[in-house]
Amino acid sequence: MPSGAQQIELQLIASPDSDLSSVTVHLTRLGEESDIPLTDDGATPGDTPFDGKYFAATEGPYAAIVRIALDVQTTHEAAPTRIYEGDIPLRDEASTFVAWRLISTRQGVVAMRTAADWPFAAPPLEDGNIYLIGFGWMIVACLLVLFAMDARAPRGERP
Amino acid sequence: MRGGGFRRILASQGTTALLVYLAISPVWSWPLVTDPLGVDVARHFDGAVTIWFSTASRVLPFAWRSPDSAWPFGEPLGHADSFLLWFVATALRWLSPAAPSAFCALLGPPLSAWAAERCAARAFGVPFPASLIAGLAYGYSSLATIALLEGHTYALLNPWLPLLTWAAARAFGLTRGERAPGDLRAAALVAAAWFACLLTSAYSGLCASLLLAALGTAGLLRRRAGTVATTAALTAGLGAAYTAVFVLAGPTAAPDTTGEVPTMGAAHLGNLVAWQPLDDLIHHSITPTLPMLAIALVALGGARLRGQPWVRPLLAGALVCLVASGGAVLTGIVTQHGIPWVFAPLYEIPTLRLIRFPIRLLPVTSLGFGLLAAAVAGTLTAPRARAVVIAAALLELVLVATPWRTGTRPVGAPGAFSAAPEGWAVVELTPLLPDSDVSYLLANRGCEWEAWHRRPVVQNCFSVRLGDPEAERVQTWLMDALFKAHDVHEDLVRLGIGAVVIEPDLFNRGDREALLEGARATLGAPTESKDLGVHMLVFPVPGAGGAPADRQAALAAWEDKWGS
Repeated sequence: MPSGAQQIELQLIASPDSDLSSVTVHLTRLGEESDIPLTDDGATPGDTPFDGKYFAATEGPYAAIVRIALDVQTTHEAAPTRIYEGDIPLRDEASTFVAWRLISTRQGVVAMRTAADWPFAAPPLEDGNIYLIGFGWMIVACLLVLFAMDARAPRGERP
Repeated sequence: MRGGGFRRILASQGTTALLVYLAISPVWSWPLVTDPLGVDVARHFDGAVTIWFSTASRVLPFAWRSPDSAWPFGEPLGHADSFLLWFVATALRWLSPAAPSAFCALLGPPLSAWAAERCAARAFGVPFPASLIAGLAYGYSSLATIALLEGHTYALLNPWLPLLTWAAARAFGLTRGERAPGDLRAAALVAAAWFACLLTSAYSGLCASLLLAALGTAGLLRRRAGTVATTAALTAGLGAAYTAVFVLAGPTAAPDTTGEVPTMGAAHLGNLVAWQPLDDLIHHSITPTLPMLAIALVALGGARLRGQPWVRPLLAGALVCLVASGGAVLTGIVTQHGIPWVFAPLYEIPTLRLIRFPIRLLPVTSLGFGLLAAAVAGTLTAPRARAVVIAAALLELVLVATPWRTGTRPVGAPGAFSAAPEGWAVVELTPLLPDSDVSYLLANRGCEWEAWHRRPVVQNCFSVRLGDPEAERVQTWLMDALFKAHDVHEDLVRLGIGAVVIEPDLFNRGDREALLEGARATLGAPTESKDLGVHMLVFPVPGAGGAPADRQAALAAWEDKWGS
């Protein structure tokens, strides 16, 4: 069934003031290994340079699952640090997006998988963006109040 | 005459409604329609097991144990979530193993929607096109999207819940065309619809029971105690037969006694109003977005339905299921702490912790609000009703966004399996992974492949669980032996295992090299394939092949090695 090539878009979301000097993905795809540097210099179409979002894209034969390791190096480190390694299922045989968010912890930085595969992706609710929830439930509450008022209105008052 | 009759049918509103829903289906489940027998659009791992069950259930009803998984023990099939899938699989046996799932995904939503629309039109007198809202809210609800993305496609083929509503409303004197009190045929129709729901899935049976309780209570208030009692007796009999099959199939997974409250399958205030991409990545697409337009219509125009006896029981059923979908803890978002909710006391009973996905009660809410909203829209002028229908369809597309969320994965078995001897079991070695979702995916994928390569597999397929003791015993022993390059091929032959499968890409470089070196030294050269997106090595076991493996001898060898 897979007829054409599969594009994997890779993204690491860090803060704009992070002092990363290199971000590299080690990809094992259908038995082939490759190192892919992620950049934040605006070279990738649509990328804003130096905003802390590192991109790369790679194309190859369709893989249902790949093994990916992610190494980052800061300007004051002598060697890269591996912050992620794992098997990642790819949900689409034509094109797929694999993204991480860089999180600082007491033990150092770690990479957490995040979603970036939808063009209008909203900020994750886990980040504390509760406005959407509040707005949605405010509408529901207003409707329920209207419903209650309607139900209490005497018969014949409304059309 | 005949031609005229056919034209009349085509021109009828019921046919138009069906055609509308059929037209929506390929867009909704895109790109399934482009290759229904060749791709799976589910994003999560249960789609693979749905495909496997379609093939494994071929032994029903003559045998209730699948011989194709959990080698050499087999697995009981009486615990099937969906016997409906067995009916569909039996009818489509001559097609690909993917056909039953694709059939349910493509035709389930339009048929379910059509049933809801007909219920609105025929039982509650909602005029066309307002009646279309009922089908949109129910057949193409966010719950249907979850079923598609999780891979429980059989749950999409559920026209029975609207038919239950229709039959019960008539039997219990809640609508026009009502039956005389004590009408046995009317009660039998209600019981049949309830049983069809139960056969569709256990959760669907639960939904039907709650809805029936609401409608039955209204029936009692309308002095239909005889019909309600007859219905209760018939459903109790059918339920007892179903339970007997379940019990006779043997012990199921032990109820959770850890005291841990299941929360992932519950609705929270966030996912009831909005969907976000992260839900598809790490939350199993648990996004039960409510049909807001339908709720708004009911809230703004509910007064127009005053005096109609079916309105209150349907609204009560919808609201009860909405409240119950919050599970044991009501939270703002999934990771937050919340307040104890309705399932908290119920989960004190360990058996009830098996209801781990309270959101699956929400089809009653979608159907209830859909029917009520359609009835409200039916009181509007035709142009306004048309506008509301179009808005409902567009809102569904944008808010639930199903076509943007589906995956595309080719189905079939990798070519290297042809090297495995037929009639002998295969065992796949996978790494121990911290991500349980990937582990489940790997286990379930092996089951799906079995549907094509037709060699028994060692892992559990029917009730896949991590740390499956029998499969893990073999895998751990074999992995250890291969790492140490111990010769185990005679043991494998005794156990009836004809091939060892390794996907080298899943292992880190160090483990991969050591494992493959051991496997080559012990089992010889593998057959390699890179198709269907999978890099696979199949090591045929020397000495296996020829006559099929003897299951009884394999069982004896198993007991010799590990005890019973």
